[in-house]
Amino acid sequence: MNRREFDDETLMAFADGELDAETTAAIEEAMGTDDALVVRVATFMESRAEASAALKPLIDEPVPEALTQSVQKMIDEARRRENAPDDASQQPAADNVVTFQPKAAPRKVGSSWMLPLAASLAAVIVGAGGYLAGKAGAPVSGGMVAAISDPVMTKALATTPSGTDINAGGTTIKFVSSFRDEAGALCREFELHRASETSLVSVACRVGQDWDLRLAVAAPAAGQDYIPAGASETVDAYLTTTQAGAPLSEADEKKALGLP
Amino acid sequence: MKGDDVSVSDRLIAFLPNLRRFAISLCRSRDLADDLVQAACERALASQDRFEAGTRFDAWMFRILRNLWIDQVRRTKTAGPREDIDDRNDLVGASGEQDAEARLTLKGVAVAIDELVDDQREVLLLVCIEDLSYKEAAKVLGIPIGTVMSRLARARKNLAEAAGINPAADRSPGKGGKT
Repeated sequence: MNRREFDDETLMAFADGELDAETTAAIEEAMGTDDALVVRVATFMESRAEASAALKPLIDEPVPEALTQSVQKMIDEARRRENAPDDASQQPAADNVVTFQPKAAPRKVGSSWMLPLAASLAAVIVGAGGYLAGKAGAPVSGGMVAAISDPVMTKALATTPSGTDINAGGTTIKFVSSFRDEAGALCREFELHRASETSLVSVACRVGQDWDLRLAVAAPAAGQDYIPAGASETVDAYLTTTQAGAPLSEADEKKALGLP
Repeated sequence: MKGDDVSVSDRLIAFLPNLRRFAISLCRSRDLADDLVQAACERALASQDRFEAGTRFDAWMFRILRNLWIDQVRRTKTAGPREDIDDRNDLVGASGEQDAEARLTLKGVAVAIDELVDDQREVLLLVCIEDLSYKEAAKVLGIPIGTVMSRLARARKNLAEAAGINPAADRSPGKGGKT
């Protein structure tokens, strides 16, 4: 298998969720077998998160009273001018003004800071393959992007409504939500819990008849139904960077799954 | 249209902290930043009929402020006013509740952002801090999207190097490694 090279700009665009679906899929696949690539992507994710965190305090700094008052005064004057017609002929030309397309409403992240993301990406490499392989008894290709080959899992993904738990061989699978990814594929967020083992928060998307594991974040074992905040924030951050759509309603999910 | 027909003047005051943060990070001086914010508000009010409802107000304001800053830099024919390192260190501001280690790390990143060249810093601010898309940042800066991407990638690699952001060094999975 020949390894495809990705330049920094492409990996950065992937980390920022600005890449086309085809290249995104290619990088995700390559990340499954190339640890160095994962580190490069993680560096771009983390540099964004750390820059954002570093300058966050600035926005909480009080605006000097004099500045606020001065701007308020300008606003009041502008309003007076608006209310007095025939006086608006001397507005300066604004040749530096452009307009922007509205941005699609981004999916809200519980915590705006994506610091845990890079760390979790690294954890995924070990987590996903081992966990699912152990469960299914058949090895999946040890990376974070793997086709889910376990028939129990595949059936559960295709038929279980969100908000429902199922039990399979000592593993509890909790279905959290369904949504469409950027390319329109149906995706499901779910959690795997097994007593005394690391739990996984996962996202899988339907490709034809199969389900591809897109993300699996390991969370320390903490009982049957508890995922620490850090792990779910990581999933939220992932959903945001991949431009995931809003969660489907119950009815839309039924339709998407083809359930009665 | 509902919710979009809020006028420029209605939005300005609420947007001041955001605009000021951008200005401080851009020109690295609080005094100059406050002057720029005031001038940008004046310009925005004078041309508010040019703002299209439904478009991004923040990007529109950033573009106005950034162009004013460029004008000023050109007029003074310097590389842009700079304060000394002590002043710049307080960019991190009052983050008293964080523990000492976190403060050190954050301060490192803020200083590293400060020390980026202007071309790289402004694109980093727009995309990574203000969450503009590459396309929106390209419009604000008046450069092609490819230039945005190459500058931004360089900025982030430089930042990672300067601030020691290195996911491989201390966050490896621990067990197994390569599969």
